[in-house]
Amino acid sequence: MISDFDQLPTPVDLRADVCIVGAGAAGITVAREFKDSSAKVILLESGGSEFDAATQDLYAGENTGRPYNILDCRLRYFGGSTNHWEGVCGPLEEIDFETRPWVPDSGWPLSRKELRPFYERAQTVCKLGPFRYGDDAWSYIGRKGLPFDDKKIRYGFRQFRDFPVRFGVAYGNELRHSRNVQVFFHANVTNVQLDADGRRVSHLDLRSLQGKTGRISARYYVIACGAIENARLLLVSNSVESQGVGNRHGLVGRYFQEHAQFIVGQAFPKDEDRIRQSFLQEFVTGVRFAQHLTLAPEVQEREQVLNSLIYPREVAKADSGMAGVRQIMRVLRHSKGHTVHRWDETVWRILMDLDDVAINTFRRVFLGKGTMPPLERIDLKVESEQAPNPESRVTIIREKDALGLNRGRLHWTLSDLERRTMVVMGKTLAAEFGRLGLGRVKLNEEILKEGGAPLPGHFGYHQMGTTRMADSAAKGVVDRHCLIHGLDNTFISGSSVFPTSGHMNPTLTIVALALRLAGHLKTKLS
Amino acid sequence: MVNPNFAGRPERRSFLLRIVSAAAAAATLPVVRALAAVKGPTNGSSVYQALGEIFEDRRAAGQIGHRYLVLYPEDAVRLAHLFRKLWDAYDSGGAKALHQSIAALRSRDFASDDVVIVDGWVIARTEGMLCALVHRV
Repeated sequence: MISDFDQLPTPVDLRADVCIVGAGAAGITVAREFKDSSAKVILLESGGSEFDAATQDLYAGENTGRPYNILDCRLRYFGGSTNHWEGVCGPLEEIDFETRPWVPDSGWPLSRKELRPFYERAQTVCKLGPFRYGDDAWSYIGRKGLPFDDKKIRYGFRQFRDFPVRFGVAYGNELRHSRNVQVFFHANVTNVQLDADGRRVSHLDLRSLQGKTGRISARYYVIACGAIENARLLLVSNSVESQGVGNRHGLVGRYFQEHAQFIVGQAFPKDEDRIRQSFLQEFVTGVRFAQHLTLAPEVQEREQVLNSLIYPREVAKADSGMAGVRQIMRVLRHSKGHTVHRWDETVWRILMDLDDVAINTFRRVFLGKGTMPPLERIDLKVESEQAPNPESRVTIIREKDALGLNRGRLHWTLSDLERRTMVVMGKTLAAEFGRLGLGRVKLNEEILKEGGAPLPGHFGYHQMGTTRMADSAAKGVVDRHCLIHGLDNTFISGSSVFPTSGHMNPTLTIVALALRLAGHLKTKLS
Repeated sequence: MVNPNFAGRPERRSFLLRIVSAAAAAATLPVVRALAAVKGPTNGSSVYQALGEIFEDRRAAGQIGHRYLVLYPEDAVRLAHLFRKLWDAYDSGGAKALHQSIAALRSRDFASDDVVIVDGWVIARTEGMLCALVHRV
């Protein structure tokens, strides 16, 4: 059932077995696992079924660190940030879960092996292909890669669909027709209320932008609002413990991590077609398999660097027809963030380049191959893990939002280790290029400067780490089951629990952890 | 430092010119064409022709070599040793042996991650040193 909190009769006093706060990828995944069970589940969503500016404004805040768009990096309506994600998925690697002596505060309290069964199920939730992301992917897509030395550099894969799964759209009807899962739109949680001794959450206070108030009591609570908002909600809930819920050790909001992305250089292949063909994305039953390269664990350890990936990023000639087609496809795939600036010019380019557009369309539609438009150049793009840094953090400020809650402040900071990681990644690829006679690499000279000013570049819109997972309360906000340390009935779901970020897009791991949490809750309820 | 004795031996200086013209790399895109492959001479052609097939711009190679010595001054003492190695290869097997020697050194460098970065270009150390020889001639 889907209802509007604003339409509920006053006073609003809801009760459930499980209350989930936030209907993004994590919240919807947990809710779906209880569908048609005996548990009564309530899923609270701040927004409605569509974007609205007033609700989105609740995300506005201050940014004091590296340039970051704290407002537009996430969406606050049913489906959450899946309403604008690009759908790229992949698991974290084994090394991402390990404690690495050269990466302070690294290590998860669970292994990749423990998470594997949930990763496989997450593939289905994200409507992807089989769980093949390493060498096993080559046989699935029917070809081989270049013979890189896998003691230095290894292939990995990402999977995504042309039209990513919008969780609200994909699963809304299922939840609407569920007997035992109730979704409430426009229901904002304004306070996580602890009982007097601070060991349990007794209830959540609710308020809508229209002024409706209420509360909800449940046996178990799952907070799934995204990394920035999870931290903010815990910090503003300070009526019993002044530092906020789950924050006795001052860790809530700390260790904010993102995936720094940079063009580290350009590739100058001896045989351009050979490189392009070897990194061509393959489509199998509607799912794209995209290759990338990562540093072997032994190189990461020897060089004392982080995990990262690199791949050739083709830059099509701006005046080519295929550049125009790609622009249009981006607009069609994503609801925000992409526009076609001059439709008339774009269409004209496509018409003037019709033969190349036709060839590439044939490749894509009938052969299931990636497109190969005329090239301007081949950039080398690196996406790096961020070293856990307690000073990279989310806090709250005095300014209040329309619900009366303190707004959030983000201070995102990077270290020289991310830059060094990218240099090692670029150099290692360049050496392999040379060894195999593939060509040469020219690195971006900005990346080669030690220390100094922060790098230019972009980020992945992957907010992680602000309520990290650890066995010890002194090291983390939640335990290995995502239960907030010190509490016995409140869990956190989403990328805020990641102790480390890896290089991979977080959504598949978010969904896998949500499936695991749902299973754990079912056990507790039974 | 290049072996000072070579200055008194015209045949070695001319040989050096042939070698380093073979190793020359332009400062821009022709770096790829210059350094990407060491091909053997075709149909028994002369050393000049063989090396000309591989390398393009001796002047640009010298510029790279100059930058290389600024960035890696410690390698200056190794230039004479490299020159001797290549001379011995040419002496024993002509242009083909020379090219094979360069290719082997380059391949070894890349395999062992013995690369240097000159103005962003990631090249094998041997390539940098060959350009440095050009600069010194």
